Amino acid sequence: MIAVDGISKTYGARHALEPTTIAFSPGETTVLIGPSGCGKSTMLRIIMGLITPDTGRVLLDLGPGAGSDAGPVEMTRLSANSLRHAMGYVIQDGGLFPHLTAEHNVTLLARYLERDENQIRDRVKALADLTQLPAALLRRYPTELSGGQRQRVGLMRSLMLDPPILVLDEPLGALDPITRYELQGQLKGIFAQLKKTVILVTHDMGEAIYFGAEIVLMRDGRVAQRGTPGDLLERPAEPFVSEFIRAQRSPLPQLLPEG
Amino acid sequence: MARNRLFLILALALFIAQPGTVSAQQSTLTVGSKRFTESYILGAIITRAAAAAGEAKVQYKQGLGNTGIVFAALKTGNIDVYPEYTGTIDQELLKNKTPSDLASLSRQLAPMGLAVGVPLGFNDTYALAMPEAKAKQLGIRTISDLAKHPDLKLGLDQEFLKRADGWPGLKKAYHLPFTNPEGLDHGLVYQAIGSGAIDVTDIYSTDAKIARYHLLVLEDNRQYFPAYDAVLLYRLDVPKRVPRTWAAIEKLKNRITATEMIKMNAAAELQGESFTAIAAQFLGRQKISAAGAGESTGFLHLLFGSDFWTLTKQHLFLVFASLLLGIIVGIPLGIAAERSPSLAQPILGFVGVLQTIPSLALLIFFLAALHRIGSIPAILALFLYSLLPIVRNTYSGLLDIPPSLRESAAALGLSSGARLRLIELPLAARSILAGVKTSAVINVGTATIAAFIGAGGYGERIVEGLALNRTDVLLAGALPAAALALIIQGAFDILDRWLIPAGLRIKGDR
Repeated sequence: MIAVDGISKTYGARHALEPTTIAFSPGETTVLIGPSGCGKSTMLRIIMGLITPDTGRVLLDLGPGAGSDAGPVEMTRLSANSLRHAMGYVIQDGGLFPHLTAEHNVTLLARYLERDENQIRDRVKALADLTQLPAALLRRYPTELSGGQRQRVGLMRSLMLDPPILVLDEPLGALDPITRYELQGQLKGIFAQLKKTVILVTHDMGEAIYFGAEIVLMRDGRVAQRGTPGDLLERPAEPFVSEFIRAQRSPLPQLLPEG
Repeated sequence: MARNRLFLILALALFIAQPGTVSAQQSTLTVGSKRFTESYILGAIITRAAAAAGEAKVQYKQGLGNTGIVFAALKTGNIDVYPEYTGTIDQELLKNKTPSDLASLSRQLAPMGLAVGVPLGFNDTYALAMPEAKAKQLGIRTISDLAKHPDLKLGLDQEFLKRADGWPGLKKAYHLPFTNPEGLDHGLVYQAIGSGAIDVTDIYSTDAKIARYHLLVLEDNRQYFPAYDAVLLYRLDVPKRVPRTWAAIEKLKNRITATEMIKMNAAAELQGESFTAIAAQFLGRQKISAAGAGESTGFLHLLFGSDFWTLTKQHLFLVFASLLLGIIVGIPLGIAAERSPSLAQPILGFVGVLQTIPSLALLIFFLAALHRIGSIPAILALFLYSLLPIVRNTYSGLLDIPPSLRESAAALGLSSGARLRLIELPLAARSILAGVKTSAVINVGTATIAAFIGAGGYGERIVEGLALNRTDVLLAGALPAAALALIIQGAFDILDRWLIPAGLRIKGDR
């Protein structure tokens, strides 16, 4: 479980994030959505410990077998690196290191942590199967891969240590519609199969509804509404919710026939 | 990984370039000389005579610079002996007000562990000279006559201009009206007077070009200039340390007449013979390839002369030793500047200021601070020059890493040290290597200045060419230096392939 407790962040005079408290359920996919500048990426970065919040704290309960004793651990400068080993992180376009091959991008952390070479090899193979990445592509450098392939490699990298938490920031944002559609389907399958706690940021309502049992709609650094797609459509907490959904012009009724 | 490779290459280059170390068993004698033709020749004669004794390993550090530098080298034991002139020792080095004889000079030098002796047999005094035709036209015969012609343009050797026994005293003694004589290098004064750029200059009475340029040596009618008898200035321990060698050197006593010295100067400056050839001829062992003048000094012969590889090795050693230091210090400084914004300006400002110090001034500073000549002060000076490109490129290379990649590296849970080593430095490799390349190429050029303080390298030929006013000798130093700069540039371009991660060399569509 990830508990965000009263975090806020200000850049100069701009409130990127108002004090916010929110919990993410274990084993579920939660989608953070909202217009640009609504604070969704700031929240994600604070959860990853990449930004230190002005107030509040982030608590992570990694569950049994994650190395730490049962009980939540606070994300601090000191705990950040070990906590991040339990959190996979994927950004737009994969965030791959251009000087390393796809395979070395995937295995960088495991090698740094001096994990067993045989296990690493087996894990890479399993992940390539999972993400449907042809094994031959692993020897290529990021610039030699297509956008969709880079994103698959980025996903493999985030899953390398089999973390209980997966955090994705606009993972499909840079892809063409066809690749995007194909990867959406695969991602959803992978999430369902792996039963990880997933937080996914997007600005696309169709994608949010497709992935999320839970949707958190944000506006101006605060949570406008949290609920199922049905809640947001039928019981909007404020006019902005309906406005935002309408502005997306996505074929929502077809996706949600039973409403 | 890339950094390790770079160090490996540099270490290898240093190993290859390292000057041969002198065996500790055999005693050595190091002969020095100043940076003008006569001193070069006398140094070569002493070296050859000493080596013939077969007792000690004799080294010759030629053209070390002006009196101050050579004397400092002698005092600190970097050299053991060099040719000097009694007047210079008396007035310039010991600052005596009244002339002293040889015995008195030796008494005064003894506390410094030095001695003077072995008068070579000629007096090379300072004198003023001007074109014969112009002198006749103006009716000038003596130095006193100059006072009547305040419009004459004076061009004087830099050292003469400053020395107590030079221009300041002369001006006072003769009440000369000239206020701002021009300062030139002695190697250039004849050309200047020949072209009419100056009318009067100081000369050495044994200069070879007095007759050739039809100059009249003005009479020193008030006996201002003291005697400048050529003698040897040496460390007191030399005669005891290498007795047979010293005995061979002492045989040079009264062997050289003024006429002979003028002839030898002419052989170097007008016929283009090498100092070693002149020394060999003088000592009666004419075994240097050609007896006649000129033939043996075809340009290619000069360029790839016997000293070529020694100079090349010395030059490479200077360049790579200083570059290695520059990398060891510069890359961490660049990293520190990038990590801490408050350090960035001070660090970049400091290395920037270093670059603006004139190279000769920096060399002399280290020479004075370390009390030694040769490669160590030169390497330190070159090291400071190499810092700016390395620090700046490390800094900007790291700064240019896209924030998304930094974030990805941090989000993986790599420690900051591991991020630097595995991600940031490899991503900045291209920029850092470009900085190292710039430093290396700059150092090849700047290293030529190091010859002024006896560090060797191609600069030795440039300095020599300047002293002899011989363009061919100068070019024989300047051309290999330029070629070396190009070769090093090319070598770094090849290194790029090996050192820059393959993924960064692919032209992608990103």
